[in-house]
Amino acid sequence: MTAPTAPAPPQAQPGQLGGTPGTGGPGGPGPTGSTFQRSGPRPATRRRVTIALAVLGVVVVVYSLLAVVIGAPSNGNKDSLDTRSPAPAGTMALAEILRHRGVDVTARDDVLAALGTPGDAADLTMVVIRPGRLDSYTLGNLRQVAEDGADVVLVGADGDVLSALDVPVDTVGAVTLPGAKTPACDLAEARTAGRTTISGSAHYDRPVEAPGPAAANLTATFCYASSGGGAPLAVVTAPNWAGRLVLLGGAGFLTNADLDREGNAALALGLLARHSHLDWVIQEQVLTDPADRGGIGDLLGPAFWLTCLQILVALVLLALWRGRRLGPPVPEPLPVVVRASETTEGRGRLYAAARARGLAAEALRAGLRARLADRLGLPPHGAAGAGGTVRAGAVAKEIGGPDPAALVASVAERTGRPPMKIWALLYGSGWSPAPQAAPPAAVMRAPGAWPAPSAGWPVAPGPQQPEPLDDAALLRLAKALDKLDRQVGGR
Amino acid sequence: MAITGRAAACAFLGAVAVALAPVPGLVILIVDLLIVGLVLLDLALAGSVRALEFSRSGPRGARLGQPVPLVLTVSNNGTRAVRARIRDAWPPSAGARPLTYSVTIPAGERRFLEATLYPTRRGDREPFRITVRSLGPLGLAGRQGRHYCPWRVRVLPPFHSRRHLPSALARLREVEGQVAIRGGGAGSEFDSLRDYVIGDDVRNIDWRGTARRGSVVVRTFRPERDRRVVCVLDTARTSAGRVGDAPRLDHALDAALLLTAVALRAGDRVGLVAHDSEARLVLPESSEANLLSRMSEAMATLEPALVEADHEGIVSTVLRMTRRRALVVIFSDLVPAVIEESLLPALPALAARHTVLVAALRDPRLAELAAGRGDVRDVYAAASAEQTLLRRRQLTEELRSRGVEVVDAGPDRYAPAVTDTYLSLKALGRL
Repeated sequence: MTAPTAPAPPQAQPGQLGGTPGTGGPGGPGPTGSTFQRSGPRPATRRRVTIALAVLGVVVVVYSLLAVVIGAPSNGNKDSLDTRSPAPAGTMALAEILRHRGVDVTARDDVLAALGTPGDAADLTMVVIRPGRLDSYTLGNLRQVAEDGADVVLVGADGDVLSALDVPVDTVGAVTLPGAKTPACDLAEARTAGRTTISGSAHYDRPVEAPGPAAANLTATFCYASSGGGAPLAVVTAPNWAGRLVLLGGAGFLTNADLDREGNAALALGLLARHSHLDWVIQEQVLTDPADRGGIGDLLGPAFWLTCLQILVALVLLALWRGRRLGPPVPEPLPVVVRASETTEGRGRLYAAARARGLAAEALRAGLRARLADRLGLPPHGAAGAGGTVRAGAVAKEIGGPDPAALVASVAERTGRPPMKIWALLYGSGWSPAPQAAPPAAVMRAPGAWPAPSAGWPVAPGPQQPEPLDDAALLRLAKALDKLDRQVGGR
Repeated sequence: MAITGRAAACAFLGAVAVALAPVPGLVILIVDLLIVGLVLLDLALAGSVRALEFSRSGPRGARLGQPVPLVLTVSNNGTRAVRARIRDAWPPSAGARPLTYSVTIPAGERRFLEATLYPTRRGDREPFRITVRSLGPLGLAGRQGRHYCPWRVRVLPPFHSRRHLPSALARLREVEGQVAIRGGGAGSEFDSLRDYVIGDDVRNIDWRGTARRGSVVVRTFRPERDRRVVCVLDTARTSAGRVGDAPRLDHALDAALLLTAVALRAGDRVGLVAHDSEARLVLPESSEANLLSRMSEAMATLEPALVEADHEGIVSTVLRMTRRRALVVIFSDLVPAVIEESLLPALPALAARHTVLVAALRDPRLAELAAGRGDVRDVYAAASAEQTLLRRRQLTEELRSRGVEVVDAGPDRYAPAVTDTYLSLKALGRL
């Protein structure tokens, strides 16, 4: 409520109007807004939702901030080792120096383009950065190029690349300390350069097991090996090769920032200025089926896996928390309880399944006969039935019914309908009382107006009773019986 | 022991810390050791569950439908306060509320936990066990343990037919001496003499009294008192059938209770037999005022048994129980398997000495089915229901032809119909 409304009236209003503030709520939130109250558990629920939303919001904000702070330096990686970049991570200085030496530096972003360019393989140096993105066929082509006389320099080749190249070199896990290292090998360029700060993510050494047949005649030279055993520089040559394969664990010593340190520039020139053409390929495209299969696992650092582990621990704790019951469920023996009408309904379904129309029709008729006899004051059994009626064999059968003649007569009198029809309805057309219908002689010994069949009327249809022809006829019969029932009345 | 959501939340926060840490390996170690350490500390500092002591108080019984307020007293004999969640587990049909309690019990004190049972079935209800989770001060973990504190609440049959009691008693007063009984059937007892009024049966004139007084006096009679009624509950398989919301047995219990209440008021002695293949319950005849409550008590634990009724056994039990003539009310069902195969052969021995009343509950569903005309399946079901009804009718005739009274009524009329028949028999002096 804002200024225009006086503070007192809204307080007084609900009391005068309704008495219960809750009922006034849906009617008009406007005038009674200030005193509107919800009842029951709503506020608690809402508070919980609010807290949950607040926590979620804080998490999102914190995450965004962290992403900005942590993710910022990663933007600088874009132009690392780029020959056109003057940034500390670029290699423009190296490219310029090479051009002054008369080397024709061509920057490319795809090895396939470099291989497709016609030119003299013997006068070519090809630097491939991120060789892990190439497939084994292209790597084989690179090896062929080296065989033909070119210098192929692979930067950061890992174990998968090396096995695809099939060279007698293997990667080893090693830790290099920052600082200059001595060459400690008899590679001419390295000895000329002397101490350099070469280092890298990959370190090379001789393979433990014997190399394959294709690698048998290759010889590898390892330089700048650290005390741990891995070397960041390996040169692979063969007697029948015109060129050579240079493996660099890292190209950090080629960057603008580090090129002038120690003997880095000398080593760079020694390795890259041997031919008058230089293809500088930063492989951008990942070829299908690259040699580097474990890509994503390598990209994600140990922090990721440890975080996953910790989340797993947390999930286990969560499961333990939710899984621990406050006592087991309580067993309770329950009495067996079935619907009492189950068997009757089941029998009805059996009738339907068997299409026992005759049986059903006779049951409906017998039921109505018994009810009508009750209502009309007739004895339920023909045996003790209306006095004076001639009966053939007054046998009290197991399942009896009222005396047919008396019943039909009473019903006819009550409803005014012809007895013939009532007979047909109540006993089936097969039992027509008309003499010309030729009823069974044993039963229809009838001198009077009404033939009087036996007292016993089985519920099960006799062979004489034709059953309704189809379900529709049965339905019609049921409705006709209902109608007769209503007409007799007296319920 | 048990850990709480807080411990899991700490672990998730730890995951965030690991993700952001410069040295994740170290951090994950620290985080997890910290959590384990705190959980162990919390466990060590939590109050002892064993030091708690439980006791109960409250009513031991109630009619079905009435709430049962119970109090669970928990006293802390330990040295530390117990901050606990307590679950007092009852079977589901006891309807105990609340299910759990959160309570803090300082050392040496006690607290009263109130629960209310809303039983949904009759019978005995016993608590299962008490589970206590005592949380530590940090709320990271807790000790969990159990206690047993036995109790028994007997849930008595609901006696819904109590509402029919006033009208039945009114009828009883009518039957009893307030109105002169004409004819004085066999067994009617002499009550008193009063002046002749026009309309009285001249056969009731007491000539000796008339001579003494000089004016015409008639004898009045009253129904016999101190007759015997034996309620026989058939607890065999047919009593398990559900009619409406309750099994047949429950309807029978209800009717038996109403009959007992009225018969006691009429000064009769009432006995009870519950029998299926063997006698489940035998209460000898009595006219004590507390019979009704004793009977309710005894009926509370009766359950239908899935066996055939042994009517021979029922008859011999009844014959052993009472030597004098009695009204034997058999609460059973009118199905051929029960009546024809079991009851009819055993009946002569019983009917020779006692008046027998068979009280059967008619399922209103049958009438519903019999009236079904929706489609042809309904008509088949209707035919089946007609057949069942016809069979009942025949069985009724069969029983009546042997001198047995039969009550066949729907659930709403069942108890009053049985009682009315009893009153009619009483009025006719047939007890």
